[in-house]
Amino acid sequence: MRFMHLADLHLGKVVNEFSMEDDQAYILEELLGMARDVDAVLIAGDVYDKCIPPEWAVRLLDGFLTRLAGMGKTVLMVSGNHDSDDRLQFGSGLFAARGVHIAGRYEGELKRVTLADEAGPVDVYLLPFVKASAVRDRHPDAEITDYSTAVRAVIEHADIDPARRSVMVAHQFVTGEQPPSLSGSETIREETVGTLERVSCHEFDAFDYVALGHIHGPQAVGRETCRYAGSPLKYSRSEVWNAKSVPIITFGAAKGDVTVELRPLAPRRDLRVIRGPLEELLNAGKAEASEDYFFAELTDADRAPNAMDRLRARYPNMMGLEYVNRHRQSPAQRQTGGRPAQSFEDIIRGFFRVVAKRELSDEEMKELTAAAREGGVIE
Amino acid sequence: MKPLTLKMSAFGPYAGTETVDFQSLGGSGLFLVTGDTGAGKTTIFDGVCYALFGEASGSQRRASTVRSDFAAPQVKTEVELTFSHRGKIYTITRWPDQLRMKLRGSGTTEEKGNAVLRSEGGSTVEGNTKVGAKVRELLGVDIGQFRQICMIAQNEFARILNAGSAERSAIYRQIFNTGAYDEMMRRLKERYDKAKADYDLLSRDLLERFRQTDVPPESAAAEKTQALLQAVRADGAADELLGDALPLLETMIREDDQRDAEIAAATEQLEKQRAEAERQLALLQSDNRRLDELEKARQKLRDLEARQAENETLRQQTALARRALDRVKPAWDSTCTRKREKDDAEQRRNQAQTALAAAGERQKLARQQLQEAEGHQQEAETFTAEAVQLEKELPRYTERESLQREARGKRQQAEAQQRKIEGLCGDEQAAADRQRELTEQEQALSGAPEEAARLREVVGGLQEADRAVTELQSRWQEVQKAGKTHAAAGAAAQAAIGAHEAQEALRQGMQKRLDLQRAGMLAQHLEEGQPCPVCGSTSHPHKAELPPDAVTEADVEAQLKIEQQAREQREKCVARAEAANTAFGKEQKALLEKRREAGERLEKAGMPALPEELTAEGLTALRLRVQQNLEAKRREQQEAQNRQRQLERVQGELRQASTEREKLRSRIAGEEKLLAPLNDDAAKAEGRLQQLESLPFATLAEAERRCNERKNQAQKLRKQIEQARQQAGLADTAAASAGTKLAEAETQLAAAAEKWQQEADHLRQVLTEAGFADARAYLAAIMPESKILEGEQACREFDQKLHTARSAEQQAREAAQGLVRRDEAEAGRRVSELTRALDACRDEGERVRGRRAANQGVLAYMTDKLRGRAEAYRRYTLLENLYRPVRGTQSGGQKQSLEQYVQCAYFDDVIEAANQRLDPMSGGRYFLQRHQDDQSRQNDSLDLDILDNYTGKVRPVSSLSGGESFLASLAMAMGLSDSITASAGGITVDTLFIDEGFGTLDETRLGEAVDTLTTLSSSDRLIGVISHRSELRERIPRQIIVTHERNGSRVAVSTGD
Repeated sequence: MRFMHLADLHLGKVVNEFSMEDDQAYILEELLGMARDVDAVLIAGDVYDKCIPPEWAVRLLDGFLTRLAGMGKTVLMVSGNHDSDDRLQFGSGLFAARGVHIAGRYEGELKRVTLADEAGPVDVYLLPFVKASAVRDRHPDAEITDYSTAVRAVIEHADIDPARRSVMVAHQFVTGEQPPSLSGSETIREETVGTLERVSCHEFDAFDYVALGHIHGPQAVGRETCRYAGSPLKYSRSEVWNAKSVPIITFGAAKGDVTVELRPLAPRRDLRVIRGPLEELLNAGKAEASEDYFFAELTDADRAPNAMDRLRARYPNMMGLEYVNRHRQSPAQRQTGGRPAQSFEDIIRGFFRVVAKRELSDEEMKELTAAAREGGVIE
Repeated sequence: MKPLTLKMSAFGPYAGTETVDFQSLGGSGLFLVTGDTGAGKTTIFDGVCYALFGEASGSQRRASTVRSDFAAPQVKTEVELTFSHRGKIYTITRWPDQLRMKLRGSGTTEEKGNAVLRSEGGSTVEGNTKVGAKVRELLGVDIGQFRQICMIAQNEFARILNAGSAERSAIYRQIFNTGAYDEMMRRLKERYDKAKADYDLLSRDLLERFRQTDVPPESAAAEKTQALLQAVRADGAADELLGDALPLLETMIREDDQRDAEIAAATEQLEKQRAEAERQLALLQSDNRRLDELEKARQKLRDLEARQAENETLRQQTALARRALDRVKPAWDSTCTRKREKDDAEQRRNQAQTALAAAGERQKLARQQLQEAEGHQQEAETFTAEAVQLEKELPRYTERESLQREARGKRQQAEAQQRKIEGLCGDEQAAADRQRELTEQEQALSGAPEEAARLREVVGGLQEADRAVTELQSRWQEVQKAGKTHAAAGAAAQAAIGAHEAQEALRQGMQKRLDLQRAGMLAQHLEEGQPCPVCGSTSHPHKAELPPDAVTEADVEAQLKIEQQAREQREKCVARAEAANTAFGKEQKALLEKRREAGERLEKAGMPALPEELTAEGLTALRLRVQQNLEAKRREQQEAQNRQRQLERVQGELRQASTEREKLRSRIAGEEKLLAPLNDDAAKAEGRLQQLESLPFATLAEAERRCNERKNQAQKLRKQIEQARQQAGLADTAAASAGTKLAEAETQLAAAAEKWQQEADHLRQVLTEAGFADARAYLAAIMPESKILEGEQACREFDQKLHTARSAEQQAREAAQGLVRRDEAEAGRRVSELTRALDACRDEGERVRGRRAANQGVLAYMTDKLRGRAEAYRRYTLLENLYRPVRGTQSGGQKQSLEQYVQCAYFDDVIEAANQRLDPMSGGRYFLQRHQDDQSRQNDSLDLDILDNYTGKVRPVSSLSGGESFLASLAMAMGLSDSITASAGGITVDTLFIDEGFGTLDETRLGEAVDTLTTLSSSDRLIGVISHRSELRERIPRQIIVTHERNGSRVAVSTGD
């Protein structure tokens, strides 16, 4: 049995005021192509970019699911933290007859869909994005202190037959020894994710393959068969160096016999960074200019007038620019000491240098100090 | 300042008491306030602001409207904030002026607003002003700054960005304490002013003195000095100029010294010369004088001798005059007198002649007039007759007039009477109307008395019922009381009985013991050999023994007494119990009686029956009902009575009205009777009038006038005749007397002429004797006595003088012997020349010395002061060069005061810190800058510009879009808070509240903004955000959720995991 593992489609996304409609339509077409030789498609959350997605996004998903169903593929989808559970789940009861299974809201039961191949049944478990509080509501006697224990409770409550081959589809922040590497558009920052939200990958040890969503850079967590598919398109600058791919999973007859193959994915318009002086960038050869999305890193010492307009003239889909030669400290690095408090003498000498363009004599300094003392500037 | 707990009662949309526990959200980090629109999100921030400062968070909300409209009237509007600041915990409670229900009684009471601040250590500050001051002291900011730094209210973030230089300057002055620089500038100015004043004063003095220099025109230094004076006048000189003056002055002084010496020498010389010349002159003069004297004496003598002849003539004349006077004068005088008398007499005679002529004339005239007058006699007679006739007719006029009056009078009376009658008729009509009206009213009120009577009955019944119930109630209470007393008394009696019996038993026991003891006691007194009082035996082998616990008789007695008392007590108590019992029984009976009575009355009054079981509350309630009913019925009764009274009144008035009408009718009849006679009289009078014949004159007055006229005329004529007669008589008399007078005058004249002639002859004789040829000679010679004496005196004097002159001449001749005349003029000229020269010399000397002294003074002064002035100038310029730049008026450099410079430095810090935040939030696009206006070269602006990396251009922050503005102002707020924390300003900014503003951001920006806020909040800072955006709800787990319910809003805290 073969699966295609997708996640973080973020249909409806707008990046730097550029609508991704065309790009998403294109990539869905590509995925449909790739789906021809699989049996089922797993979609691990963040299907839409917003709780209430724009119409074109709905249209895209509608088309995608219809075509997959038309091709006879089973679709297994969970909601992510960006989706609205209930809205995504619309019609799921009706769709199930056609092989499209959607788990939007966790109602106390871990949804299970059993597929079969020549070797036997394969259970696919669908765990939508849950917060610890939601699970607590459903299982009041379970001891749930964080997201990890919540997931554990859900899994324990479900009746898993460990002998059967199984797949888990989930959308959480799952970590192994190291936390997964982020690429910036997941709307979380490593520093800000509390330990409460982390789910240990070992909670999913019982499953042969864990199809995860949430992180946009394709990577494995803990083991090769526990993966984030990654988003199909680059959705932020920090994903520039991602190589977008789609994992194709082949289940052998025996439990645990799982192979993963990564198929590369090429978008219609790539997201790139170009660097150099403005003039150089403007005069680059024809080959350089393209419809891709660009971020420009300008190395000029001074700011050039209308840089953005000129770059856009050359590169129509220029997303943003920055000047990189200015030494930028991150807020954390910045000394919170700020300007060291200057002594009165320094201040006044500085002042006279700037305003009167001269140095002060000792006698002048004395007079100023006396006046400053009287005025209360110094003790 | 970090809020820990906020409790709001009846505040804004919170009708009851809602508590927000900030601590459950963690001491730091980002939290979201979310909920329905208008539910009360911003109110939470308002609450914090209000508790701290007494004002709402935004400038658009006012603290006066904080009381919740949903609140129940007895709930007090109040806010309590517990917060920590620099490690200490404080609680502020504050409430506004408000009206609320009283807790006891009814109505509202005005409660004055107040504030209380309690510190952890226990100290408390109370009162709006005091608390405000303390908060300000603690936090270091007032509400305006708080809003700028810690709380970005809805729609106000633009203000942070667009605050003008002046506003920013004021805020920074407060926060970074740059006001001291301003003060410093003022002090510097004081010094500068003072130095300048000193310098000016010195300069002026120096100039003054210098101008007093007296420049000698011939001096070598004169030209230069004059030039210098001019220069100085023009430009108030610098030190160099004045310095030049000093050597010039010295030169001048030296020259003067020299000159002075020269002059002294010259003076001496001249003096000597002059003395000599004077001496010469004196000698010369004396000689000449002697010669003069001689000449004079000679001359005098000659003069006198010339006049000698004259003198003689005078002597002769005088003698002649004497003769004339002494001898001739008397005769002359008397002759003259006589002549005068004769002349007078002649004159009188002439006068008499004239008089006689005149009298004759007058006589003639008078006779003529008399004749004329007598001619008019006849006319007078005629007039008199006419007057008599008229007089006879006069009475008839009088009669006629009186008749006229009578007729008129009667006619008027009749008319008046008629009018009166008409009036009375009108009154009668009115009375009839009134009568009708009142009759109607009477009918309307006819039913009233019966009604009143009925109600009286009812009220009576109710009153009785009320009384009965009241009595019942009191009876019932009595019963209760009696019951209690009864029970108490019973218990007491029981107790007393018990006590008594106990005492009795005790006593009996003691008695027994005593009896037993008696034997022992007796035994004690037994002695061997003595008989025993009991049995008479004299041997006592076994004496009875005292039992160990002996009691004495006394004890028994005492016990007996006690028992007595107990018994008395018992009897008393029992008696009381009996009495109480009786009383109780009586009361109960009485109660039953009353109850029956009350039941009857109530029934009669139509009230419900008594309940079976009587209770205090039941009775009270019943009584109340009865009374209420009573009140109602009483009111009705009152009304009925009112109507009854009204009816009576109306009836009375009706009677009155009828009587009046009657009266009026009778009066009318009477008056009509009187009318007829009056008319008759008037007619009669008019008839008589007609009968009188017409008379020549219209009125009596006219006739009388004519009569008098004629009389007067007649009289006048008669008088004229009389007068003429008199005049004629007089004239005759006058003529006669004039004749007599003439004769007399003639006689007198003759006599006077005679006498005169005699005297003239005598005079001629005397003249001849005295040697005068005739009268003329006499007249020529005569002189008055005084003149004669004078002449004689003059002659004598002349003789004297002559004698004296002669001897003087003699002497002078001797004195001038041998002397000769010489010319004085030359010598005199010499002397005066020399004198002039000497004076000039002396003056010159004075002048030179004076000048020298003055210049010396100037020199000394200037020398002294120039040094001081140089110093003062140095100091003054020094201070000027310090003050100008500090004030910001340095020419040529940047125009920026010291305070502005310092503030700009702080502002730069803030902007740098802000940019650290803005850079990631805007994707590297925007960069804040302080506004630099190249053209004016002023670098003092605290305005903000923004650099857009995309265009590379700088533009003012006001050109940013809404979302971008929000990010920029957020960055500024964060930058300011970073800066303040870093500086030693003393203000800690560990809380930040942001109210909305995220609505205008797109997703990416929103994401960046939230990330930045999260980063900021992670370092021990608490950041609260109000937003309705769902993305934030997704992203920020810690939330305060405000929900809108029908009767106010509710607050719930969720930690989101």
